[in-house]
Amino acid sequence: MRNAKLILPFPKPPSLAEFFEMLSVKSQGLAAQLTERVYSDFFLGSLDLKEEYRRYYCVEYADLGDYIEMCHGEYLAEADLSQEHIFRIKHLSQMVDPSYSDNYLDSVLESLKKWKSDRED
Amino acid sequence: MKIKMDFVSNSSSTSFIYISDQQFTKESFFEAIGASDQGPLGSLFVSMYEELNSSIANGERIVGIDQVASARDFDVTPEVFERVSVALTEGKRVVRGMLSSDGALAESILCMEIFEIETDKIFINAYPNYW
Repeated sequence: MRNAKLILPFPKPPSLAEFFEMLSVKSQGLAAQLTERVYSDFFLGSLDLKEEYRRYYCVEYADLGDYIEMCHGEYLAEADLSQEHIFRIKHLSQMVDPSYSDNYLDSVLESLKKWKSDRED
Repeated sequence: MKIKMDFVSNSSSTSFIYISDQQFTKESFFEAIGASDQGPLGSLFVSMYEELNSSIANGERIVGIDQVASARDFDVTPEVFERVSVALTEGKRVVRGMLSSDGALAESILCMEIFEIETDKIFINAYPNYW
């Protein structure tokens, strides 16, 4: 359970259309084909640890932070734990895979952060 | 993603078919793939254009249908074979380009991706091409 490539605390995820928009990609074509896969990695193929905790582990672990730290080896600050979702992402498409030195993971995360921030304002 | 079924090495290459009677420009590529060079992924798509442009420039010019229908005919679908045939009779430029999985990220993604780009200006097919 400790081999997640990314833990992403996040409020309500963007729709696919919003994801395309924040990355300046139109909904049809090769660019959409590639970026939709990243969206799936992040928000469809991931596991929501908050939901997992609520459903299965809240009896076993005193709080969410303990569960994530003990089961997934990640310490999360209170601000992250209070997000609506905590996505554990095990697969990252080539475009955002840190195994590739010139990957675009930071660019995508930065776009998501800005999108989230715009909605909080 | 393309899946290789036989011998696997550290790097592989795949082919694609390019058909056009116009210059392959960055503008036509961005229009065709639905991306902007100003967005967060802009530099990736610019790199993809550069890789494809270079591969087309250095690719194998197809001047006769026998080049596609030869022993390597498994690298194009029947639909693409037909398109190549028509394009040659219309005098369009047909090129078989190569992409390597061992290249930079943009080339590697294109190498392993099953995709088709089609507008009224350009046609690129990278479906079940040979490795």
